[in-house]
Amino acid sequence: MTLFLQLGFQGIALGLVYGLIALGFVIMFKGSHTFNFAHGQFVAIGAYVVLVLLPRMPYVLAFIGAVAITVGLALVVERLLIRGLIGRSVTVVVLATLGISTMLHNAVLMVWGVGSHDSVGPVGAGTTKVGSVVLPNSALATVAVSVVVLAAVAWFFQRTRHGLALRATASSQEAALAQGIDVGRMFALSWALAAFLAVTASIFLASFPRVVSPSIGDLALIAIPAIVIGGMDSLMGAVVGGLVVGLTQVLGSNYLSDIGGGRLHEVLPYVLMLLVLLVRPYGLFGSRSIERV
Amino acid sequence: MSVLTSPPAPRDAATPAPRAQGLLTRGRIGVLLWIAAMVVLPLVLRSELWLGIGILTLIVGVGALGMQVITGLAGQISLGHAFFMGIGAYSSAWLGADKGLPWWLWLPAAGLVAATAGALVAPVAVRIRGLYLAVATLALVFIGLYAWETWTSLSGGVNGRPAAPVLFGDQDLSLGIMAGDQVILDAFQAWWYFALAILLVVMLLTHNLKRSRLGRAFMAVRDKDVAAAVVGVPVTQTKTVAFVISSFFAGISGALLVSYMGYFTPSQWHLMLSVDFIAMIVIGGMGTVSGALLGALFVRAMPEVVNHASGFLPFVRKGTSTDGGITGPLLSGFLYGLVIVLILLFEPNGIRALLLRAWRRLPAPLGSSRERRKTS
Amino acid sequence: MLKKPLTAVAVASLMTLAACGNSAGSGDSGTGADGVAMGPGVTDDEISVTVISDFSGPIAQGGIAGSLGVEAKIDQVNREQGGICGRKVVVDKRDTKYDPQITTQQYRAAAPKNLMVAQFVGTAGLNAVRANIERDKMPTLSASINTQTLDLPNVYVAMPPFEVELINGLTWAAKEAGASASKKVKVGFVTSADETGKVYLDALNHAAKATEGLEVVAQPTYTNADTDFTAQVNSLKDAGAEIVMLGVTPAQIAGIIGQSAQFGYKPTFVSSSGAWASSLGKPLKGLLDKYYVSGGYGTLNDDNAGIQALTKARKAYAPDAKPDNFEVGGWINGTVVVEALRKACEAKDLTREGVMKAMTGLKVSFDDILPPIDLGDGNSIVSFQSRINKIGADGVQEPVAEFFESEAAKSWDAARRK
Repeated sequence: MTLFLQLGFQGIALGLVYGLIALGFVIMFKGSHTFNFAHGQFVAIGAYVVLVLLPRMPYVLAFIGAVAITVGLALVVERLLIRGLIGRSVTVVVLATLGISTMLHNAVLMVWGVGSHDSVGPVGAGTTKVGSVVLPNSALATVAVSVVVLAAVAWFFQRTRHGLALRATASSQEAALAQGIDVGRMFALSWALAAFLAVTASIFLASFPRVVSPSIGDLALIAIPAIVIGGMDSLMGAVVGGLVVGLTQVLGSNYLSDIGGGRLHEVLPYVLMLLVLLVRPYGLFGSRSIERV
Repeated sequence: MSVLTSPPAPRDAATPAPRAQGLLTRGRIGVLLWIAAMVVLPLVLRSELWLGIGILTLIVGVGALGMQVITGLAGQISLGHAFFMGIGAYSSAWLGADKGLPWWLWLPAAGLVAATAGALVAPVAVRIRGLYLAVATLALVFIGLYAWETWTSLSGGVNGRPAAPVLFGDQDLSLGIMAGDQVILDAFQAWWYFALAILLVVMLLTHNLKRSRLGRAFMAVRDKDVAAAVVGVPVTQTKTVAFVISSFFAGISGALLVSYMGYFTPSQWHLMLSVDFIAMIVIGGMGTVSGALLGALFVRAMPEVVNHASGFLPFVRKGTSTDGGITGPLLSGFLYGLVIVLILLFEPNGIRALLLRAWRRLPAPLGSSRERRKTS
Repeated sequence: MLKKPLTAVAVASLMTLAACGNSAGSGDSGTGADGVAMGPGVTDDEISVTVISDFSGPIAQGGIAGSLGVEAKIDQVNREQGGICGRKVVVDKRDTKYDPQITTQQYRAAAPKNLMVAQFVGTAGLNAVRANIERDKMPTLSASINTQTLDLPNVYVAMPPFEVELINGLTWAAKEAGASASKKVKVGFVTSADETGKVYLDALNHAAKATEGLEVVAQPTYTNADTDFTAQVNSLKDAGAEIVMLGVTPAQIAGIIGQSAQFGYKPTFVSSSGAWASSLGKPLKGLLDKYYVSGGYGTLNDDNAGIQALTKARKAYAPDAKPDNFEVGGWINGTVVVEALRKACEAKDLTREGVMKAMTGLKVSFDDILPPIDLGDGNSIVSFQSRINKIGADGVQEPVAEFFESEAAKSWDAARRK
């Protein structure tokens, strides 16, 4: 039982990180109708910038600095490379973001090299014991911050003018235009929000004992099954999908280690995603209309 | 069923309206010139690197035409091409290397097995579209990777397995073709012509498919499937056929690829391979045969061109280092991504359109050398 | 639709290909002015060897550093001795991006222009071109130091393979723990869930059986997608493993050791040399006092003639490169290349056959970087010696004992070759 709780907690912590990344995907998708395959690279860049800033300033400032730089970069990419593709086919936009991903990945290697570095989590290697379950402080911080950030994002979408405008844009760009909403600004806003979430996720993805390395960008791609399982346009779905994937990986690495060559948990998120597509193509929480995009 | 009385309005700028031109009527000179060039090239080209790139271009060209059928013609985005290529590769290796069948059996069989897989996947794939189709096919790639790595008796596990050789009598294509002690074709030339022959067959098939009623149904589905259904195109069936044909070509391409390499591992059927194929058709020019081939050439040759060019660029770090810096390999990766995005932004119809425009500007054959250099 | 663009493709491809095509390969052999038989890549004033490696992909860190070691050695020989056989040695570097397809392309392009492969990085890529290496009779030094690549035709592994490092590591740890018939010590093995992992597991299980007082209690596996090692660590902890052998890569080390510490689990960890990267020293600071590396060759921090020569050579060749221990591995391969070429030159046979003949039974000493090796018939393990290191400041390895060999490693090899 202890082991189950232990694994479950680790799975939830990891799943919430995936949820943060998935949420970024969903917000960009709602705001700009772009499924951004380059999102993982923003996660990587966020982690690297925190790594560079950390020795020079307090943690909070380093984080804010990383958010500023990553958001700035996301805005530049959106304005220069994505905005011009509005209205083009899914194939074109998907390929464009894959191209951007390749660019950013190689740029990261040029700037920071191919090696791995230190961890950049907000708390160290310490743990807190609850009964017989050991809760790593980094995982506790992941859970705490994720919950706060997710609540803030929900509040933003429900209660603020910009959030409402973003939702309006998501449901219909024409209608939003008619209401006097600057759709271009909504595009930028959604990318900025996603970049902020990417940096937040990055510090936990590179929390002890995980480290900053070029592979973080690829690691973040596991958020894709999370989004599909949850539903591409659902904020709630992104988080739930992330949890499903995180729990599948961690619980599976223990309970499925004797079957399927010990690698079943690696492929299970993709199998789940395919099953969801089969019975409920718009995801567990998505709206039916999205199927037609 | 009357398919399309008037051409549909192109929904996407990247998909030009079909033009009425026959392979053996007006396009004859261009095609013959291209074939002639392809026949002469391996005889005059003396660089093993570029011969190798040329052969791989011809081989992946087959797969790119498959991609063109599903995405360029029928408008269904698929990230699963690597999966179907893998199926073709393992089928060919099992039949050719393990069972000892000749290439003229294992090659079509590889296509057929992949096509069958496509037919099995199609019922799910035709129900979803756009991004959902993209991610569903992406899942196929990862599930495939798992299957290859786990099914070790077939795949040899992570260490890989030998592929089926192409044998003409007792002559192995990978050793070159000999007549007695006389080398007629070296290994590069032999493989070049073999791949070229297969590619020509697939080109002809694709071309005729595009001109057929089925091809017009593909494009109708691509441009507006609701409208296509209204005018009597059986949408589900059409999409299924597109999947099957595309997978068939992918399977052939995968089988050729591993046979040329001689030995292969599961890791090569990765998502990036699928991405390369989408890049090929979008960069080359959607919905056209020549676009697929141009795209294949671009994807295979571009990194090497940049690698060579980077030797002359002052800002490129000459040595390599683990702590970063602009090195040739990294620059070529960066530029690959950048060029993809730039072409999408500024030339929606791809390199093909770019070349066409340059070609039209040629005033006379005599004054052409200057312009030609630009296009290369 | 096939009309003009295709013509343009033809012209364009003709021009690009022909423009790049003038670097014709010199596949022909001949005899030099000095009476030396010359194979591919050899002229009267040059010997070209290739390094096929990942310079920009997922294992570029090892690929780049390893290549640097080869280059530094060759550069040293060129500078100090004017090359070999009166010829300058040239290193032809080829980037594979760790992609088997690109590896095939690069190997085939490099093969006609080079006498031998001075270093091949990437197991999947090496497998992809194994048939060509056999056909081309290409002497190839592999950087994948395990018996799977050693068994390939014409492929040499000039260092003790990882399996030997792991076996020696286990026997050392067993002795340290005082394992004996009367005192059972529990051990656990962590390996990847694939064929490579199985080979390491076989070696470790053999060693556990051959060593008195060891009981294998847990054998968890991992996959490359794993970022959380709760399951693996807990299975080791619950089984009470006192010694944990890590047949892993640097990507897993931090997770396994870090999470073990978090769960209050402190066994003795021993890994092969391929599992440690000095950059891991920072995140794992303070957690490494019971972690040891069994290395088949020494480290950049050693103080001996070999490392001094390496340090001097790398200062001259690449003064601004960040030190990395994979350079030592590259230096070892470079040294073997130099010795093989010298011996082949003495026999006036700088062909591939000549190089391979020179490598047969070639004994190379590395001025104490590692004990002398014997290449034997090319398919035998060159040395059973390894050394136990601990991790010092900045993540660098520091020896805790001298090089030694274990009977278990030899008996495992004998069983393996049957």
